[in-house]
Amino acid sequence: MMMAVSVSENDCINFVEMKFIDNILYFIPENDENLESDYFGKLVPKLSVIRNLKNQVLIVDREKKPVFEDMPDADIADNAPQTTFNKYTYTDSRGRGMAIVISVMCNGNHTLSCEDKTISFKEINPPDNIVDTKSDIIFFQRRVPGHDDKMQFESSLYEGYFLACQKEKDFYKLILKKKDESGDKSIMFTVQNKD
Amino acid sequence: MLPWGLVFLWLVARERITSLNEAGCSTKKLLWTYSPGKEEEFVLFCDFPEPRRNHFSHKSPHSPTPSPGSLPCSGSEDLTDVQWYRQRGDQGPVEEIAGGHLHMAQNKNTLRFSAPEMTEAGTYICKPRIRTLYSSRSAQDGACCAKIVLEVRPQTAAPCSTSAPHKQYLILGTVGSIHCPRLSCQGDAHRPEVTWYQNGRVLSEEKSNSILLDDIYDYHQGMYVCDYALSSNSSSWTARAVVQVRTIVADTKFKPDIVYPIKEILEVELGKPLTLHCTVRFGFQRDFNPVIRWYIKDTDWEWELPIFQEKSIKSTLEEEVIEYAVLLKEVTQSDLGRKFVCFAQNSIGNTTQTIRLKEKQGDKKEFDAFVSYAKWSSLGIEDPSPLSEEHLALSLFPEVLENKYGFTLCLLERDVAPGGVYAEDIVSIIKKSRRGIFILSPNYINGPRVFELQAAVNLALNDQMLKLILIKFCSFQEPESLPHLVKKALRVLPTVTWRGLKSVHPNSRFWTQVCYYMPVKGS
Repeated sequence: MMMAVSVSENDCINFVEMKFIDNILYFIPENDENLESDYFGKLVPKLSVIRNLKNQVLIVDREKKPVFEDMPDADIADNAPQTTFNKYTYTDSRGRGMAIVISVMCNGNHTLSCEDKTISFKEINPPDNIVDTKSDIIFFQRRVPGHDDKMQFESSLYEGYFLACQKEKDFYKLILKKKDESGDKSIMFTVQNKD
Repeated sequence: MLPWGLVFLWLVARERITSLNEAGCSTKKLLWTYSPGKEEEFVLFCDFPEPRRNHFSHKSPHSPTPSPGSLPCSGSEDLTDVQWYRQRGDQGPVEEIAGGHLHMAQNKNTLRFSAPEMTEAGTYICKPRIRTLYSSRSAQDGACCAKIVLEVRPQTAAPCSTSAPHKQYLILGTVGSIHCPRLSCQGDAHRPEVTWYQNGRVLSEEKSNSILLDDIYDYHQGMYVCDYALSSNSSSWTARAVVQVRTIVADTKFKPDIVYPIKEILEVELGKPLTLHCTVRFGFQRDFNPVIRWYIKDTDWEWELPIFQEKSIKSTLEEEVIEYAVLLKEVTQSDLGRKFVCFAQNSIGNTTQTIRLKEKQGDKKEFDAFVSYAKWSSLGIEDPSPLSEEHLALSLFPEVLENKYGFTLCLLERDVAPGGVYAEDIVSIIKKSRRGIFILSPNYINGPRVFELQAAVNLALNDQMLKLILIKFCSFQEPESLPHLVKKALRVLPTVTWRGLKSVHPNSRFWTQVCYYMPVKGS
């Protein structure tokens, strides 16, 4: 025998006022209560030099493409701004990790993008806020487990895809690739932040 | 009925008996020597023979021996999906292996055994599964297949002292090695060639009984299998062992960290129970023995408080955060003079955090809420109808908020002695109340009592502890003459709507909503 349970009005408490309009649920904040949409918020940038595990330095070449080159430390400062990137850290409303944007000031501001799973530089300034949880210019910087000095950069737009160094003819290019589960050192980098 | 029942049972039997032409299968003989009582796993891979057309392919000495007349895979089958069979005895029937076994399971192409004692020795066969439109059945003839003769034996003699275990750990960021169990027992004289697999794939560069790793990463974690030929006089048996490898960080060099409490003073209420929490972060340790305790320290003695609750807040590769709570049934006056110490320890050392209790200062208010309502001029109505606003204020509010919920209310007619100056009385009561409740109706908003709302709005601007609640008894129109501040208040303040009969009962949503705005008991 089944007993019917009726949900009476008395059983519910409205913690936040809600309205259903056209099959969409809207939250009505009361006195500017803590309701905020998911977003990324920009913080202060750090100047960084990024190297692959072969110690080659990431630079922007003449054709505005990101490549890795052997370069003694002394030359890095001389070759700035192509070698020194502005790494903007953003707060992630979802707390997924250190969200960063990489840009370089070289005849205008160029920001690294992985749109369509292809690496390119967009001629834009890193925005102050990105109202979304995914972005083609935002990457999550995380430490390689057990290797405190090595970092990985996962795209916030394409889960499982990472910034990597790939050899193409004589060049070492920066690309976006899917992580190889059996072991992939091409997605590991060292980051040197300038104070 | 019985014969039909039998037919039914036979039809739904899980293991279907099929006839299989396994004379054409490539054969391998595997020996599993296990240590009784220890946890050990075993796997069978479905290794089909390579297609004959590829003459120059490097054949590992341990790839299955093609029996004469064995059929290679034609190349058109999907080799990623296979069906396993088991044959009992040499000439026995061949059964399909389906799900539902406790100690044997198929994982992609691999057959995994989780308990040596319960594993059946015998012949295991795998074939690519061919999916037809209506069911998936393996083709009886023509398809390639692999046959494995499995023998399971307990280790009779004690394993030597240098035998590597079946669970091995590698420390990330350092140098390490993975050893094939039991093989290290045999002296240098006999060093067979070893075939290693990691997560089902052959590691073609590894041939010795240990894999050396010069920089360990998290991707080295996994299930490793080592195969080697047994030097027995008769046919070629292969011994196999399975090693589960886990990558971990090095043991921490640090004592634990007390994350909470940080401040040394905790505000409490006398006579009430108190839960004391201590949150501690521990670095990774392979042999992890965390200790967390709460002590009460008085001038001459100290004693440990019994545990109330312990739980893990965060558990990662590198750390473990644990919260430990104790319960004081009642905070006494003497507790205020004592020290409470949280003690945390690991094998490296210990840390403490001391706190003291301080009595929480009350807000010095006398009433939980003051109820303001319109008074009907006495028209000889002795007993107001149950749905009048006066009845709501004078009967229902005390009945529910005072009797049921234990709040202290102040009602002008009931609690204020006559003879005083009305305006002064009102201001005095509102100042002594934590909440002001205003029952709004045309009568109220156009009558003299609206002064009470005005006074309260003004007082609330300067008193953080005073909050106002509006009760919409029925619809009304705001008179133009209302002060601007009151008009604004009517728009902005929280409002609970009275819905007549529906709201009368103490369990109605109306009262739940009113209680939501009332002060928390004991504050």
